[in-house]
Order: sequence, then C-alpha cells, then structure tokens
Amino acid sequence: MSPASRAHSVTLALALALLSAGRPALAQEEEPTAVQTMGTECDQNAVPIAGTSGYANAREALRTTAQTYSAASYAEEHLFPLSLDVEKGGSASFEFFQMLAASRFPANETNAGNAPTCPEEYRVSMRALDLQAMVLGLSFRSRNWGFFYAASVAYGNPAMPNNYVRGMLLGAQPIYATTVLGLAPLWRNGFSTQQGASAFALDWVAGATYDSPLLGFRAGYAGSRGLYGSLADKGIGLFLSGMLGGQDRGGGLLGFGKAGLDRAEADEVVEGAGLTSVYARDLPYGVEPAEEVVEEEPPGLFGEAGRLTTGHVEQANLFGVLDLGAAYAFRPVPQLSELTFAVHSRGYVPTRDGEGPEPGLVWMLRGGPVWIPGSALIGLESGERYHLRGEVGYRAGEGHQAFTFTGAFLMNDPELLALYPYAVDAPTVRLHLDGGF
Amino acid sequence: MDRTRRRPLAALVLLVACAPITTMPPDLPCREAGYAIAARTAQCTGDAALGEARYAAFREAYTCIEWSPDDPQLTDTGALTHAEDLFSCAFTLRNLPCELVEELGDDLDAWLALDPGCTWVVEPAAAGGGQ
Repeated sequence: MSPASRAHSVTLALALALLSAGRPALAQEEEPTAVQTMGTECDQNAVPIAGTSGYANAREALRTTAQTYSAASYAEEHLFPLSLDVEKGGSASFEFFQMLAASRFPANETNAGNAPTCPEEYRVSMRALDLQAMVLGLSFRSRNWGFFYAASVAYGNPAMPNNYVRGMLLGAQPIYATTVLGLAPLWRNGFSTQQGASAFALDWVAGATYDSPLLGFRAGYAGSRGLYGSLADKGIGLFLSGMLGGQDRGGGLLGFGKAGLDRAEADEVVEGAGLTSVYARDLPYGVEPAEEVVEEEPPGLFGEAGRLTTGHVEQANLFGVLDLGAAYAFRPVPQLSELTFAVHSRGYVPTRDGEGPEPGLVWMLRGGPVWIPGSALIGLESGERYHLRGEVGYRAGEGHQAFTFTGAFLMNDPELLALYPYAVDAPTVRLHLDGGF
Repeated sequence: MDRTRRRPLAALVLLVACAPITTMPPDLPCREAGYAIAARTAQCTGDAALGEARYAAFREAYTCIEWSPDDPQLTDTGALTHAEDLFSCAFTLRNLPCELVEELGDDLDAWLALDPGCTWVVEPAAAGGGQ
C-alpha cells in the first residue's frame, strides 16, 4: 500500500469512528433523516459500470485534471507572472482546487436492499466524482538568469455516499498531498495511476529562465516526459508557449499550446482602457482517438480529434475596476463559447510588471452566459448556463514582495467548462496563495 | 419571494448539485447505447461529426425502453441477472474493434445486433413507445 493510500485509509477509519461516536447507531427501521439522506448507506466504494459515457467522462475528468493542473501549465499561469521584472529575488505560489460532482457515472451498489437509506432502486445509482488538485511553484532569479520548479498532485475518486465522511476526507487529503508536492522529483518521470473511477497523478517541471530587458525565455523538463518552452516579448506583450510530448498527447504531439498578446498596456493609448489580452489556445479535450488508429499514422503536431482550440479577447482593469471578455471555440464545435463581465477591487488583475492591487481587501465578482455544445460523444445535452465566480482575499505588502491570499467559489466557470464540459452546475472551490521574497 | 424562503431554496439547489449519490434516470441504459455508437465512431474515424450524426439517427430510428433498477422483471425473467446488465449493450458497442466499426458503418441495426442486451433497452420506433 502506498503512503498516500495508507493515509487515505487511516483518515477514512478516523472519520467513520468519529461519526459513530458522535451519535447513536441507527436502527434498521429508522427512516432517512437530514443526517442519513437517501443513499447514505450504499457502498462506500461503489463499482463503476464500464462502457457508459458517465464512466468514460469520470476517467476523462481525472486525465484532464492531471493535464490542467500539470506543473508546467500552472507555472505558466501563476508562477512566471510573479517574477517577470525582478532583478533579484524569489517567488512562491500555492493553490488548492476542489470540484464536487464533476461528473456522474452509473455504479453498481451491492448493498442496495439491505439498508433503509439504500433501497433496491439504488441497485444501479448515479455516483458523483469529486476532483482535487494541489500545486506548488517556486522560482528564483538573479540578474538575467534564474530557475523555476513546480509540482502538481491531481486526484479524484467516487464521492463517499455519506456527505459527512465525504467532507472530512476532502479536508484531510491536502495534508498528504502537500508532502508529496515537495518530494515530486523523486518520481523522476512523474507518476500516474488509475483504477476504475479513481486516479492519482503527480507531475513536476523544473528549468531555467533568462530575462533581458526585451525578452523573457523559459525552458524546462516536465516529469511527464515533456519539454516545456516559452518566449515572451517584454515590450508589447507578445508570447508563445507550449509543451511538446508529455503523457497526455490527446492525439497530437502538442501537450498544450498558447500564443498571442498578454496584458498589453492599453492605458498608454487611451487612459483608463486597462490591459488587453488576445490569444489562442489548444488543449487536449474530450474523447481520445482509439489507439489502433493512432498507430496507423504518426500523430501530427495537433491531433485530429480530442482537442479544444479557442480564441480569447479580454480587456481587464477597465477604469481600474471592470473586466470584459469573450471567447470563441474553433473546435470541437465552432461557436461563441462565453461572454464575461466582472467587477473587482481596483487593479485586481496584475500588470506584466508585477504591479497589482493596493494592499488590503481584494475581491472580484464575475458572471455571464456560457454556451455548452451538446455532444453525444460525451453524453452531454446542449444548453445555455450562467456562470458565476466570486473571489475574495487579502493582499499585504507592495510590489514584488506582496503576499496575496484568495479564496474563490466557481460554478459553470467558462474556463472549467472548457476542460470539463460535463461538469455543469458543479460547485468548485479554489484557494490560492502567492508572494515574493 | 422573501429572503427567508430563498435561503432554503439556495441550499437545496447546492445540495442537489453536489449530492454524492442519486437514482438512475430510467432511459439511461438506452441513451448510453446511442452514446457508445457516437463515441466509438468518433474514436475510430476521428470524425466527431459522423459520431453525432449516427447518434441523431439512433434517436430517430429507435425508442427507449425505460427501466428502474428495482424492476422485478430484471431478475424474474432470467434474461438479465443483474441490473447493471442493462448496460451490456453500451459496453459492447463502446469496445468494438475499429475494423468492425468501419464495416458496420451507418447500419444501426447491425450495431445493435451485436449484443443481446440491446433488445432490452431499445426497440424500433415503429413498434411504439418504451416501457
């Protein structure tokens, strides 16, 4: 048994012991209550039914989480922006992500019919898949040269039928996940394992950075056997980044790719215009091509199926407090995919120079429509939803050495639905911490 | 609606959205058979649109037979020994070799003839509504 699964078992045993100590054992004839809701006494470890879209989505969600929260993409999104224009110093960043009921799959409940809250109609139930991820990033720079390191742990499992046990497990998992993050390079090639609808994936990336007044260059090796590289122009904000290879190819050689304009200072042209970003992005997505087909022809840079390609236009910090955004999906289904409006505390979106909001309370409220393309391939009905994202946190200090903590609640967030299209109405919590030294 | 009435409603929506376990939709075994045809088509041909088209044709040509997992017919007839056997059709279709997928093409009757469990979850539309 691995240390992680041992810790999981101990936590589960403790949670069950605490629950049974906290209240008297339920007699068989008792009716379901607010504590013992329907389904509570079904199997702790339900057996997923293979061959269904729900099961395929659950496995896909776990694969996507490993990709999205893989170390390289996290470093790019959160770590590098912290240290773009620092002469000498370091940066650290940490994030915890939790999505409840990201997907639902049919499961066989062997205990159905044997307990009041698990009647025969639960013989085949729809079980939720919970996803978690934790990421840690560190970087240091002295004059032009520097190094970076980031590690990610992504894991998911069928939800425990008892919400109290479920909550306690979710709270305990970060404890061992944090330990694993620091030791990630011991698994030289990264690590991932999947059993049924449960999975655990570990990835890390380490590399060097070079910054001149005109250009920023990053190159690294990812534990998932990919080569990461990025090139950024420090004047206007043009950039190109991506990962070649890696375990998650999605039918192509490109793990992910992104190019465009990052937070160009429109303020210099029109006062109060804020920051402009225009970029295209390509990610693994949806069903993967069958292996036997991939083997017939070597994969190209982009795979033909199982990719998501989107174009984004964003205007942030309009008058210091507003954001507007729109995105269009080119594939798998060409359509407008989101419109976003956000209001936030002044200067919430940091500039490329690392200039962020004033110290004190920071917050942001974002919403708008999002269009979900129906897809029989993943058992998804089309529809329009409204997304909501609320963030609140505190920022201490100024400039590069500022320390920021934020907590976020998200539902139908376009970024998340792009990656997990079946996670409609799935509540998500994200905690983020970063700072410089 | 006043605030005190909205609060429980909001809590209910959140609870349902993230409930760990719910009952199976009665037409799920049938829909899963169609999803399996769509997904396997896309995986084997690389053509997602063809997969979607075959699913649309499936919904047009067949009617879903609805089931509850506690339906006595499931075990009494002896044809299916477990409720999860309702998904044997989807399982078979989702795991077909790509050579066979190419051979079957748009012939949905031929797809559904590959697993005896398919007759338990779908019937030709002309035969009338589902269970």
